[in-house]
Amino acid sequence: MGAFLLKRTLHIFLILFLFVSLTYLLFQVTPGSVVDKFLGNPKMTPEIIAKIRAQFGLDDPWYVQYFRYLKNVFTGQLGISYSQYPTPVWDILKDRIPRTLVLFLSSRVISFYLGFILGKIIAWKRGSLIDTSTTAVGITFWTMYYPLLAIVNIWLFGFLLGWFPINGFTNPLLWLNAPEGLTVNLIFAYMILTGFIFLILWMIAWLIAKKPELSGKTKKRIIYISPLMVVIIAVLVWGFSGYGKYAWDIIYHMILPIFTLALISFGGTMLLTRDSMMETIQEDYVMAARAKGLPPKLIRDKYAARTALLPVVTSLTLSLGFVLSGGVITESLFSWPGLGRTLLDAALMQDVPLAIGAFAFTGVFVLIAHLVVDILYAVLDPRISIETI
Amino acid sequence: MAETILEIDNLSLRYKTKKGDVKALNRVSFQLEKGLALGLVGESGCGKTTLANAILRLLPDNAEITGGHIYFDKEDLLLLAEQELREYRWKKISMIFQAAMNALAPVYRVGDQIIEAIQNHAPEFTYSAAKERVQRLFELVGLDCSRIDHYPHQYSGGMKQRAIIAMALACDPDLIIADEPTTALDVIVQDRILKRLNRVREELGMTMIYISHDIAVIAELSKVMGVMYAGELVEFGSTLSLFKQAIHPYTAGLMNSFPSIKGAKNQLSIIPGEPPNLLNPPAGCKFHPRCQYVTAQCRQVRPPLYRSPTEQQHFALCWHPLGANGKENDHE
Amino acid sequence: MLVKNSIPSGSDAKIISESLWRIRLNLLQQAWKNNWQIFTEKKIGLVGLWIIGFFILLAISHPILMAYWSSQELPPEAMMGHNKSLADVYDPIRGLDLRPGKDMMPLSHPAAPSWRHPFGTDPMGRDVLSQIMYSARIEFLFGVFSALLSVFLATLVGAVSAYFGGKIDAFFMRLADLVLTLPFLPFLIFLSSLLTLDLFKLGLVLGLLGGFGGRTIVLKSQALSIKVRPYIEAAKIAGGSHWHIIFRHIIPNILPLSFFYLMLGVTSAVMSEATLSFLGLLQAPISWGLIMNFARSFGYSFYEAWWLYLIPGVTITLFCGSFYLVGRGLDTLVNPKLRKR
Repeated sequence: MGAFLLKRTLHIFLILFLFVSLTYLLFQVTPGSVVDKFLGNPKMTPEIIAKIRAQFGLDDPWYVQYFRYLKNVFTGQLGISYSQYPTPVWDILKDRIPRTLVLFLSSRVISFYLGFILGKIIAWKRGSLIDTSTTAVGITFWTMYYPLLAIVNIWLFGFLLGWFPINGFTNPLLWLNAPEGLTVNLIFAYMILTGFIFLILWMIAWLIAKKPELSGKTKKRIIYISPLMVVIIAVLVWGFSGYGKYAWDIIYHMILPIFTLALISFGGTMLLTRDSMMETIQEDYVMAARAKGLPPKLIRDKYAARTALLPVVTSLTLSLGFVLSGGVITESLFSWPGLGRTLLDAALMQDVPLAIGAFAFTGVFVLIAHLVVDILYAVLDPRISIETI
Repeated sequence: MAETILEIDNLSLRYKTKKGDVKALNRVSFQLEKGLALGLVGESGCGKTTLANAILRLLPDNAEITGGHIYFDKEDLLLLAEQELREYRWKKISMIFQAAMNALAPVYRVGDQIIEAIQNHAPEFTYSAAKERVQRLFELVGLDCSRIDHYPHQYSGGMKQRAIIAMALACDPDLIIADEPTTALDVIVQDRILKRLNRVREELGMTMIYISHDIAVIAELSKVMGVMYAGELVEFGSTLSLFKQAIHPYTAGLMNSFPSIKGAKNQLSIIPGEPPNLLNPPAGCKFHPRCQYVTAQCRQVRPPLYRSPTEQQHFALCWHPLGANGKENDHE
Repeated sequence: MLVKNSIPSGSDAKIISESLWRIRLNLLQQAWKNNWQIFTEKKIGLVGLWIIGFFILLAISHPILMAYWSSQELPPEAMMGHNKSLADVYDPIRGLDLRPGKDMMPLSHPAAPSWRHPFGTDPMGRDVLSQIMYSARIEFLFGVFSALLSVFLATLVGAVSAYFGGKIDAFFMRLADLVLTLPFLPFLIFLSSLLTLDLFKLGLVLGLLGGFGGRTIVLKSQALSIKVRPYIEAAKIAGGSHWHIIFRHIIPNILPLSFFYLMLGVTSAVMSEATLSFLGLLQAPISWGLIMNFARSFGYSFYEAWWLYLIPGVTITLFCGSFYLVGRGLDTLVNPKLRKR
């Protein structure tokens, strides 16, 4: 497994390098360079232009410029935004990356879980009314034009029912009276930390529960009760700290965007799980499990669904682009200050340094996600450990 | 006479397909005594595997049992609910699968898959006790105990087959159905595994059904044998009696198409034609388009059961039984 | 894979007496017939085809309607100085309805659906139904162009890299890996910050990205499974050139899969186009996504002008969904494992 992951990591670094280079290439070959736009002012004399060009290093040979660019990208020096002059690009991005990350991860986890569970249930009951109707609902959401779904959701849940705020990341009125030094970013950082601790504890619980000596009931207890305990403790700690209402404000604003994004992407996972299960159900080891007299639910979950999971996990990387596109629209329609909306605004305002920065980080993000999926796959499939891909 | 453990009575089964019904089994009947080894032989697609799977009702979605009974220890398995049938699966009847290569789930350790079967039927077994049992089973089938914690992809084909056999023995079943247990293996490994299997069976006194298209394997391993053709059990009887005097022309043809080491160098004969399409099987005797003794009667009416005059347990479905009425078997 | 299996069951002598092209035609016909049969077994693909047919009708009928409208001159009192014929009222891009309503007051735009404008009007007073019909033709051209380009490239590249292997294969596969990691929509947004995207450029970019991306990998693995078949070896021994084998033997056998990707390609291309227009990053006279974009940039919410969101949104969903359904219908054909015995 180690060799496999090392190979994948190297591979991904190579792609990251190519990706950043491609960004540079596009930036260079497109007509009308940045400088032309920046220096498009007719009042500028040729002397001033020449001076500025020299300052920016634009008269250096292309390879010098290229290496300088590479160095800058990998050290996080992405220049200064035009539209929010003189804020450095990195300062804009560093606040927004975690927000996109949270939006993306939570909606992806929810939609994957939902899609996988539903997919295995309908595959097991193939041909029944539940199968047909759930598949139809899945296809509808999966092929639905996402802006329409988002707009309808905002109207339905935000306006008609009034359950959730319709946009923004926080309620400004609440934060106006917040104590000195308490910023949204600070609270959000602590929230992410809480989530992180939760994940680690859950993973430990999983590892303990994986021991074959434990009976099925004990396993279930460990896997389900331990995270519940952590959640209760976390809620109590936040509640007593007095900052709970601020955290809740952020969560309250997050629910609708995450739900909407999850709704559009669960269909893909569900349909793929179903298709994948239809193949594994015909496998001999599923028949062997039936012959062993195991309970049907165990056969479904432990045999048919477990191997069907593998191609679904692989498809996580392929569906990344889809979910990221959804993320951009979500951030735009819900006025969510994240990476996607930054990129969109930068593109609309022709703020090229910010666009490059936002795009490069989207790329880094995608590549990290690829690596995570590779690790997940290696953990899930024991065959990886000796096969060299 | 020993106790009958399995009785199949007039079993019929069909697969519904888009092109029509495939009549995979047609009124199959036989009885199997406890402790015996039965060999079922026939060409591929004749219904051997379907019959094996029907006993444990491990059938695909589109299969439908249209009639008959399967009595195991006097209990009709077809009347049992799925829940009750699970008690029979593996604990009383276990299987060795045709495609042993794929009968082990790739994502779990081999040992754990066997332990699961043990614990499922005997919850009183702790994990370590079950593991000890697996170790004994591995020794029995000739596998190294260190292999218990390995995954299936770390096994060779022959090892997988042995593991499958160990798994089939895990719950001390009364009946083991071995469906072409060694087809995918090379001849030497095949022979070694079959011998081991037979010895284990004799030691533990289990009943077994071997399914194979290889009449030589059947002859070597089983005391009773049945010949299947186009979804019907055309001949059934003790192996000795069948080889001495085959009743059905198909059985005779089948035996003639295998070389014999002893005896004269006879020309191997083949049976002309192909097995019928079960979507639209011929009327009367299913074998009549290929039979050299065919008469008008054969083309229209299903042949009656003919019992061998010398041995009551030996019967066949034929209008023109060989060895009767002075007709000579070609083989003799 | 499917073409090969469908040798007609006529006697050998009869086949030999026929000319080669007739045998080929016969085989092709048989293959299509088989494939069509498998396709129609699943109703889902047929539903998709019906919806596509409906959109084709929609696209064709628009120019006819326009011709009819321009022959319908309006009476002078209805003109209000601008409209001379119905065509001026219903033109998808320059149209404007200034005619007075029943209460003798001119319509205020955007107007809700009515008899005069079944899908309402947009904030600039243009008829939405006319815009939807007009755009249908453009979306077809755009979607099919982009999908054809990408599938053509992917099939060719897949077949070539499977057949030749080695460095060519390695190059195209690394390229595919790179394209695969490129997040599509962010990339297009980024691109639009550097240059002005119009429909043709977008189609080209999507076609190229699709052609060298993930589809290539799948088509290549399919082509690889063809390459190892005995008849390829036979063709080589018979003296077939590389390109002859690629075009005559490998590509025809991966065509069903290519066709499957063609359908998905149309879906993804039109979806990307609609999203980009919705975000206001595409230079186009009118498109389904743009109708929604106009409504949003004019500040109308779903509550105030639902028809400007719901109607184009549902149209895009149906259009993309129909191609997706056809793709799913082809699924059984592409993946023989799913076929019932």
